[in-house]
Amino acid sequence: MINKQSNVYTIAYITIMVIVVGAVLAFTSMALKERQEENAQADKKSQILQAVHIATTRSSVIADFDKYIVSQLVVNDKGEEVGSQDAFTIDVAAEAQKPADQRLLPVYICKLPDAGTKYILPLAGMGLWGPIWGYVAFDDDGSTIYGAFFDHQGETPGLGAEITKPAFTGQFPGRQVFKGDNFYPIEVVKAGQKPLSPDVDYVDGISGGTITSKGVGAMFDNCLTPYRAWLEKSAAGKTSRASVSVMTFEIDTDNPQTAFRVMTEADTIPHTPGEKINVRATIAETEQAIAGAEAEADRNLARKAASL
Amino acid sequence: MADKISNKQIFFNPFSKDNPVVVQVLGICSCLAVTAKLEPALVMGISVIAVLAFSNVIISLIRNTIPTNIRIIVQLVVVAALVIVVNQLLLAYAYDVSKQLSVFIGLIITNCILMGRLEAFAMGNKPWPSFLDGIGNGIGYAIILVIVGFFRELLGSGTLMGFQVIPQCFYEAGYVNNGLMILPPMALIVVACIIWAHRSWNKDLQEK
Repeated sequence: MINKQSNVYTIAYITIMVIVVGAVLAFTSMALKERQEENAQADKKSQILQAVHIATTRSSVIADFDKYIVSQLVVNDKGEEVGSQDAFTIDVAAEAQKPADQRLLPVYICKLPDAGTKYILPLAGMGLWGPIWGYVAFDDDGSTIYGAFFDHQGETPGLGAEITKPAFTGQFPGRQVFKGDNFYPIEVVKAGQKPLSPDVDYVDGISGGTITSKGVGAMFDNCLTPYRAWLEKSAAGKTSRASVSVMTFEIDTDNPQTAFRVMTEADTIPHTPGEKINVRATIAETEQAIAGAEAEADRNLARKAASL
Repeated sequence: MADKISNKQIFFNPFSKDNPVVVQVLGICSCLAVTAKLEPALVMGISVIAVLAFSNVIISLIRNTIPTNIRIIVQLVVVAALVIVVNQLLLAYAYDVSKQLSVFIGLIITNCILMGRLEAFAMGNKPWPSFLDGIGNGIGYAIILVIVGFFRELLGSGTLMGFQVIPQCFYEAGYVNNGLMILPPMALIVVACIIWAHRSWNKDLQEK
């Protein structure tokens, strides 16, 4: 009979146990690795598609992804395409840690049969307990959000984890990141409050999930800002971006005192640049236009006076 | 243990009379963490049943070889290895479930019920009774988790398993979800209510 209390027995026992357990774990990991990676990739594809409101199943996700995502590209913060790496394999969470000018920024271009071209951009950030990430889809104006998807590793169920729910993600469609010439990634504020700057589009955070909500806001700020140049470029030549308000002004050049009427509308009015009636303008631009019109009216008056 | 307990008792006692949560008051931390929603509570319950049953069997099989001075370490290694294997299998064959579960892995390893059963039962009993003991205690734990999860999700979010069960007209009439139910302290209060109800039912468990 071996002495089970001896040090030699204990050490031998522990050595054998560690080797056996290590071998079992290594074997399990090796044997299942391929399947796990396939699952992880399929899961990522389904998350990307959920940003454009396409629900897929595990069996159809790969076919759906190839059908709707027509191209993938990698850009830098100057909006130039860099062709060094496959967009799908880029580790967005790692890129988000780098300074903006060194990041590789993946873009998924999606063509929907009923809604046209969408740009899907990945996001990555931190919640309360661990990483959070998401995908946000933009209309082809490069400003209006079409859909958003979020996921998390371990946020509190019922609190922070609510960022994945339609009640939260449903607030994003229709929000715009470009306001006039300014770029404001969406802000997440405490429900019922407004952001400090009135121009910024915002969504309500989750009660009890403050830190996760703030994480989503920070993630938008950190991950979308480097895309600004690319979004501006991609939108150029298309219908002009909607500004914070569309100034509609009519100027009677003969009568500068009652010369103008300024109307602001919060909604988007599509228009082509240079159109006469609806002019996309910041307040400064509007004032400039009015001043110009007034100057012209003065000249007209002077001309009239001269002709008399 | 000298007095002979039948396999039936080993299996059924943990459901009520010897329940790990409401009688032995073990596993309270995980009860608090995963019961804000019914679904993770259910997944956690099933995982604990599986891990507890298999670790009980393994420890019971090797119980005569384990040096007493490192037995806790051996038990921990077995539990941790099993949890990792279960997680790997879920990642490969039930990816969505594993996304739910992955957070709670650490909680299963540190769940006091596991160490408690391994130490108190599997170290001194044959594999088959140990297996029944593991299943029984796992179910006893899962029952309480599901009850707590049921009340917390229903009253805190108005849903069950993610489906809306409180009709919209209630909200229109002024009903508001009780946000306090989602916060951790309410798990303890709900568990306390269950213990209260349970002890009123089983008079012999009441302490003088």
